[in-house]
Amino acid sequence: MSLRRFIAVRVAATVPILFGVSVLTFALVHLTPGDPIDQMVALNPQISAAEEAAIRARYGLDGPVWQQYLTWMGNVLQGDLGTVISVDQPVLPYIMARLPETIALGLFGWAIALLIAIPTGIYAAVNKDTLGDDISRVFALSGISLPNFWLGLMLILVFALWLDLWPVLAPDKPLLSAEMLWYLVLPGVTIGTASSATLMRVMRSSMAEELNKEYVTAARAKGLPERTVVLKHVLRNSLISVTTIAAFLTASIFGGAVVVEQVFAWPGLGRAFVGAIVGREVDLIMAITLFTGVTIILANLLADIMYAVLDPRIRYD
Amino acid sequence: MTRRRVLKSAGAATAVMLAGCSAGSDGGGDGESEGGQSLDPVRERAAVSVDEIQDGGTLRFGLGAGIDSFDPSYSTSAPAGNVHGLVYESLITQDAAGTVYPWLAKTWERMDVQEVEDGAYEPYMVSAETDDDGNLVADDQIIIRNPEDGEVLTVNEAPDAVADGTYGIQYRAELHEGVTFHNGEEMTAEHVARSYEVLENSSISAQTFDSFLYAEAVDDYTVDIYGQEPDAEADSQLPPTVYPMEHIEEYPDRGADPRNDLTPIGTGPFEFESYEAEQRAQFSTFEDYWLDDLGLDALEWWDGPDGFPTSPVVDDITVSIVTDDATRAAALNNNEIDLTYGLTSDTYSEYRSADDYRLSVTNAGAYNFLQYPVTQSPWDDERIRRGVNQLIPRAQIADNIYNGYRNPAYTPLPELAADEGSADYDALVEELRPQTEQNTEGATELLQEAVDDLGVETPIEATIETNTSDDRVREAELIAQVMSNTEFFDISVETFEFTTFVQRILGPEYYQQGNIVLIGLSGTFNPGSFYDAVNSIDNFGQCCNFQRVDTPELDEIATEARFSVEAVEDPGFRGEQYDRVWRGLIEQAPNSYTVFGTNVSSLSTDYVGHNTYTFSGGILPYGLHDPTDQQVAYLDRE
Repeated sequence: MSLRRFIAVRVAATVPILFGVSVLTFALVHLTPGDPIDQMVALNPQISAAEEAAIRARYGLDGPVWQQYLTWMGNVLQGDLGTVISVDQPVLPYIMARLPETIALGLFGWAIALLIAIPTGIYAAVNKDTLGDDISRVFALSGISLPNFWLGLMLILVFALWLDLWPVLAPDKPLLSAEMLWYLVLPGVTIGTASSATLMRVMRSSMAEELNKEYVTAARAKGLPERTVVLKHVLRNSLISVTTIAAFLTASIFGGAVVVEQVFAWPGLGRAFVGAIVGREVDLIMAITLFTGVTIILANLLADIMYAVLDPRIRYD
Repeated sequence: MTRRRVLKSAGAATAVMLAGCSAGSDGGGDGESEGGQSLDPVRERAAVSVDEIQDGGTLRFGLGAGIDSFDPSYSTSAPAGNVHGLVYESLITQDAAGTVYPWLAKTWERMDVQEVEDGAYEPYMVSAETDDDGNLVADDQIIIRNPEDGEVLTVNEAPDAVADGTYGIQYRAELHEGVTFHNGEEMTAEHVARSYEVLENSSISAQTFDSFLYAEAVDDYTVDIYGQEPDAEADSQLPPTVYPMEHIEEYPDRGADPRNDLTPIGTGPFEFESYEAEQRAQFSTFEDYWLDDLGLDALEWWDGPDGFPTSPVVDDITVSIVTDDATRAAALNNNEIDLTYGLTSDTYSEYRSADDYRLSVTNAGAYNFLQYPVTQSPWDDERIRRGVNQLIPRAQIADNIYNGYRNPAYTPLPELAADEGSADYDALVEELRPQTEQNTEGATELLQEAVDDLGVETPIEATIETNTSDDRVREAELIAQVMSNTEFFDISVETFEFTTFVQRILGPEYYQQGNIVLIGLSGTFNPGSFYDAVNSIDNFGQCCNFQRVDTPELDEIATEARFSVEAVEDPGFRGEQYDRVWRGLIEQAPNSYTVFGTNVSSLSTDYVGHNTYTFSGGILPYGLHDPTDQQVAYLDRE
């Protein structure tokens, strides 16, 4: 199978997946009691039953769930993602205004995760069963175990409040400025820590496995320097499993963004998602869920392609 | 120095300590509450000396919620009021005690009040269609519905009714001349009369069109505003936010909001500058602010010191949106914001004792209440409810759970609305407190008598349901514990996420489930707000009569206390009527009011003179500058 056909088949396979995700999410949102109009009514005793019904009808929240779903799907197929009721804004620009922030934070989190995981994983594998290896494994365990919100608050406490090295709030600067990159370190570390821990463990085990293979023994026997053996031969093969895991971690990066953006008052999609759930903003929840679904599917597709690039023995079967 | 700064600085700077809290005058729109002099709800009001006021600087305000709309006519969020108050103004303003003062209006005067007979509007009504639920609907804003005949009065027919003399109350506003909007338009009577159009069919139109009937310009600077009924609250309910023609005529049917590419334009002291989604909004001084030009003497009620600023002395405002309380507190501690409110009460002691920070506390109109399942046995017996009312440890709740930042609710009426809501508030408290103060012995007698008469098996099992707010859950648990400590009750507590909870208790069958609701609500300066929402049968199935509370005789008295000619013309009558309502509420006890809230600002001492407004939506604009209380605050970054 050619690469082009492989991609076409995989993309086609995403359609039923996204459809299933949309049905499931829509059902879950509607199984949760309440909607934005309930909140509006709770805050405004003057709104009569008739006015409430009129508002509900205006936003298409008055029909049975299946009808609401079909309406929503029909609108989506025409490029209309619906309305964020609480602010009376169309969903698409609402998402697009926040997307760059989440991408920036996600990429930064990724960078931090890779910067921590790969050197640490290599070190732990090369120095297997030493004190350094034990320390790195404790770090990995801690990274996985620590809740994001707690780690974020602790970083704010230590580095912003005690040491005064970072601001608590994002500066009023462009997203691609030096000040903003500096600011992104704390949320990036927070979001990247859990992923780095997972990546580091995979890197370590994968590398340790490669180091025991015959081609490594042969390379050493040839008298190649250990540095060359590890970085040129072993690292490339070890990265195959890391790449696969890294794609899966895209989901956890977004999951982390939901919490981290809240803690750091970062105006991205994660924070919007929390607000959408609290306010039962169906259209916004659906849009962000689908967007995330597409992103994860694409990340996995990219991982498969990378897998083949890194290991020519792999074919698209 | 800007032109505005020059104007502000003109006048002798006199060293006068501004103690705030003006004394009211008399009704008829010259800054007096009709019920007499109000108590200042601000605790330990900060005072500044006029000659120490420093001009300039950027105030950084931390807002704990997103801005749902920059346009007050499209906003249902109290926190967003803090940005509305910078940009927009109305004909009147209210000081921290709720006294009404003319603002954009030079005078604000009641011209006429008359009874409106039942069916008086019917000759002007038109047929309307019904929706699937049987509700009357129309393309134009409906003012009054007549479901029996399938007819409505819309904004199109209201002028005919007024022309024939069919209305309940008429107010006249003489406007200040020379008031300009941020876009340079001069405000006229036409702007005021047509500003109601912005509200038509908005999500909060009900707040205005439940009392407003019609407005018309008499001449360039005179406008008449009519209400549907004789309404003792009309002076604060009828005046609109005033919009420029650019907004009224050219903006589409959406809020003036940067997210709609529509700039908010008002007459207020600050102009909108920029907004970054969910992050920050920025405002700057409006150089042609009308009060800088006209001077404080243009306000007929002004009797403050010479040299008092005519507008806020701070140049720019940055509103940072930080929804997480811990992060907002960290930002305040890290000197990234100067002022915020709504932090958790466990942080207050830290700010109270810190040298660089202070707290500003004001008694507010929010209240927590228990609502009993009054249609279900044994809760349909008022002795059971009165017994529980006497078990509630109000003082303990206020002191221990809310660290003293709540006030025990010994009456259903807070001191805030005492002026118009009671003929003699102190006497009322003295009379009712024995029935609401914790009295286990008295409660036991009542409960024993009730269970013996009813033959009810004890302990009576019930659940207090509330939303997942830490303090409120603790309050529910304390009440449940106190009740369960008696032989009469076995009470559990169940909590729900807010939206889930709201949807649950608004359900049409909820009242049959036999649960007790504990929830909070915000009242207003008007006494009716502490009765209607939670007791009136008209609010069953909506906010906030969840248990089908039906006290027809009290509803009638409360209606008389607001919607009658006598109530409008005679504050004494109004207070007496409300006293009857409060006594009746304690007697029948469909709800138990537990504590009244406070608003608490946490701020840096760099921001000098700030005092907190009674309602959270006014905290930022009021603190900056409010001549009604001679309130002004400035930045001292030294």
